[in-house]
Amino acid sequence: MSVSLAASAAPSPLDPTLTRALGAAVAQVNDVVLGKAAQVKLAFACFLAGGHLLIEDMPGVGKTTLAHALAATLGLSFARIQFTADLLPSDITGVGIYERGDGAFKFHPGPLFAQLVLADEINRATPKAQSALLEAMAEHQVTTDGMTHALPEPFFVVATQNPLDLAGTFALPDSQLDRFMLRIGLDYPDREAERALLTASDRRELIAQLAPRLDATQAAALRDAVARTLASAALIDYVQTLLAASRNHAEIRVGLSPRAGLALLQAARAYALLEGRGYCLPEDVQAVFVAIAAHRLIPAAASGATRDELARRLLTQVPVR
Amino acid sequence: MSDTAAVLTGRQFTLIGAVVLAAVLAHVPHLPLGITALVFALIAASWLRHRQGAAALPGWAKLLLIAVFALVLIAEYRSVIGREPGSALACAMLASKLLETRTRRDAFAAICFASFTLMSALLFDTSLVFTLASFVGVVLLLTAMRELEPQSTALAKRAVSLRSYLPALRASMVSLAIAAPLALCGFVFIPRLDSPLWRTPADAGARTGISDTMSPGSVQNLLTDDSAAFRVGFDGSPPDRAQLYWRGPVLTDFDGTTWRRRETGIAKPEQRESTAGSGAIGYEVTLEASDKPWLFALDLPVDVPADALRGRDMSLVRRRPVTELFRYRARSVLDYRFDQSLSPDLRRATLALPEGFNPRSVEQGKTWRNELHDDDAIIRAALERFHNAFFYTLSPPLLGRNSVDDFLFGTKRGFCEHYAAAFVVLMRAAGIPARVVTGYQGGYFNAVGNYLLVRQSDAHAWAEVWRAGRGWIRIDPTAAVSPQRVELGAQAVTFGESAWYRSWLLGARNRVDLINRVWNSVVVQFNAQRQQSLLHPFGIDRIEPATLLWLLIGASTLMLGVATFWAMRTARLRAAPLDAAYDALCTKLARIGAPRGDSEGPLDYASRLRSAPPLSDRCAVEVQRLFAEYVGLRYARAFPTGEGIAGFARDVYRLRLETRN
Repeated sequence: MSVSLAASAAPSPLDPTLTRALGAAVAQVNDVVLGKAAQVKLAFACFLAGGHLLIEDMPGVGKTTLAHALAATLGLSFARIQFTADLLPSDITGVGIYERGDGAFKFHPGPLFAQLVLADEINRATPKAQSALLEAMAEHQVTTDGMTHALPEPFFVVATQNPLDLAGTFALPDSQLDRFMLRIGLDYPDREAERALLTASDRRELIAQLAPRLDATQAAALRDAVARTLASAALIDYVQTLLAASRNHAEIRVGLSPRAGLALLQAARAYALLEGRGYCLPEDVQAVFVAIAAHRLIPAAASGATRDELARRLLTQVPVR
Repeated sequence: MSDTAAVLTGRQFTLIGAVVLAAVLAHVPHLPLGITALVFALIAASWLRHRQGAAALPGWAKLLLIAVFALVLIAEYRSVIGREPGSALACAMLASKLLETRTRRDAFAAICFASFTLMSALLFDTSLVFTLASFVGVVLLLTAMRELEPQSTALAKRAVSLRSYLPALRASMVSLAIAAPLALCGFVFIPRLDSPLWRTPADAGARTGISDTMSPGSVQNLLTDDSAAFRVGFDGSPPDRAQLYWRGPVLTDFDGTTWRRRETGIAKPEQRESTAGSGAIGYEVTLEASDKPWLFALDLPVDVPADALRGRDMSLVRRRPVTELFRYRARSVLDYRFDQSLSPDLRRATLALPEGFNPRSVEQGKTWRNELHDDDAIIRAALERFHNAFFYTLSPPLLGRNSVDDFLFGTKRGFCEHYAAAFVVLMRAAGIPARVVTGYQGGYFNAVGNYLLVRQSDAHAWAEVWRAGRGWIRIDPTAAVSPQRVELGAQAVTFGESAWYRSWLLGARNRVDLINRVWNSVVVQFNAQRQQSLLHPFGIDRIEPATLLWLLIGASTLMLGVATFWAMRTARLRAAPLDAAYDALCTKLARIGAPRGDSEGPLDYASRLRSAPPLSDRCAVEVQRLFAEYVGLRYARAFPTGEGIAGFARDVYRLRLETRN
């Protein structure tokens, strides 16, 4: 319904094949990850906006499945890094090894050199290993032994972390959390989805059968389209009002940074594209806001609200037209 | 917010300079030449300094300047206290403030002080023209404040030209216009005191009051002096206003130009033979310092206050001048008879006329005596004459040697002392003993303090004639002048007769004078008494101060409310017409029970309206179309187009919602 309304206002700038391919991709992931349409959409938005995704939830709710399904559907090369306490930075980035034949060191790329990297249980590794990943995420390149190695494009990190089992973990500092464009939770599936899950075949088999729905050029074209999605003056006003509200809120100690603002706008653009629109609406901003803002806000000591609650409260408190 | 320490731009400084100049110009008419020169030199110096971007003025230079001011002021006035030295000091300080004005903070201080200086100029001149001229200063002031507001650097760096100030000028005039009704409320409703608050000590230095001589013009100074002469608390209710003749010095001797008091000795008990009717009225008078010995009492005092004497002319004289506030008790009988027999001395004195003065008046008196015989008829004839052909004016033409002749047969314009003097001369010529009595007439009854305030401007002169068997009778010839014939003050008769444009000029002058008179009577002289009779047309004779305060609060709240509503409405309409139209749409939908949430976007709202439709089908389609139009305008392009907004607004205002069922 909303799409039809939007269509009457301005035509989508996407060409139909691309739209169809994107729709098919989202649908395919939804076939694997059951009952999580909103989160899947956010994950796609994150990928299209060129950000990295943090999935925070209990084990066994489908974090890894989502990452696998995304990789298979987007036609990306996939690598999984299981973060543990003894993981070294070079285990991730790769290492230079002396080749006797050549008489020189040769760089052997680590698992980071994949288009979609699943960093599982990122909070189990030491800060040293974590920061190796986070640097690579920010720079899209790896530097070892004085050599800089570009990472493949698109480069999309999906990290997971378990918020419950905190023994022997190194929680990511707030400043590092900022590197993730979106943070989503998956939560338990609803009754219907869970039944489908229980009765259907094994997810791993399903993923193995998945065919890519988007190729590299299409992904690049989609990312281009995100950059071209229109954010009107009125929409930017709204984004700014939200940012200002987060900075002047009694219950929030540290509000959203300008980087968070950029991420918000970018993710909203990607979300608009997923809605089939060539321009952003406040609804797009609202749809991505909690995932963008919650892990970046630092609540005031006196506030009893969780970060998610604070982000939702901001949304209801800031008027929009 | 912009920093208060931000250095002023050239255009800002120029405007501040103009404000200071305007405030100082308002004082130039009464500033001595030396100080005027000093002040203008300072303003010029500041301007040059700012142009050259000189550094802040060192402290010793400021101290030196202040010392120079003090010296010049003391050399000029011998004091720094009082109206003139005070305003000169203000001008000098203001000009030197400009010299050290560099930042926004300085500029605000200068503007505040300039507004004070500008207002203080109204202590010297309250005429309509001057008041209007001072508004030019006020507009400049507001413009300067407007220019000091934080603004984009592109705007702030515009060249200094009259044109570039126009937007700020227009805005300041608008704000002045918005403030005008509120100012009017304050003017009308703020409870007034019965004498002006802002008299400075210098005014009190030269004390005015009734003197013991009268020559043309002597009372005039008093009639324009609003300060208090005395206050009276009555034991009972105050007598009728027409009875309030406060007797002062009685002037008997006339030498052709000046009337003088005559030493008559102390009143004798047998002088007052009878009092008829009502009993005596007791009261207490608090007399302001006058440096004269005269005490004032209602016609006719029967008691003599302590420390005072009563002359045979029934005027009260203190043994020494009243140099400070003096309080005394007195009793008076309003219906009195005294001196029923006149001593030969006094008869001679009250019939005497100087030789060789006013021949025509003397002739007139004699004619009346011969034709009418009867004293009463003669008195009536004289009063009749005043009533028919004479004008009351505070600015009468100059009179020659035979002042009474000139007045009676020539100018026919004058105020109380002219009438009293002329009347007495006529009476004496007709053989009726007569004399001039000076004092005060009337007063303003202050019901809050339950006392009567008599001002210097209530000073009056009237006549007393002696009739055999009746004694002295009070006659007020001024009262005989027809009220309609009170002249507007135009000195029409002093114009030359030759000029062809005389009549036109005369008319113009009269009109201008009429405007001034209306200004004076409606605005300048709007006093406590006028204020309390505001509701007189509605049958309420006086308003209590508390009522006034309530009126003030009510009226100002109303004005503020209207102004706020108007300002908000126009701001909304101008700044965001699209918002206004969209708000109107949402308001319409809210009225049918589907209000939009504050943080609900248009898309969410539209789909909510569609999923739970309160509207008839036809309406729902139109509403969805409007939402699509709105989204298209506001979000599907970087900026909405003017025509698009106009179209959307038109559609919204035309929309008539029908609900389902």
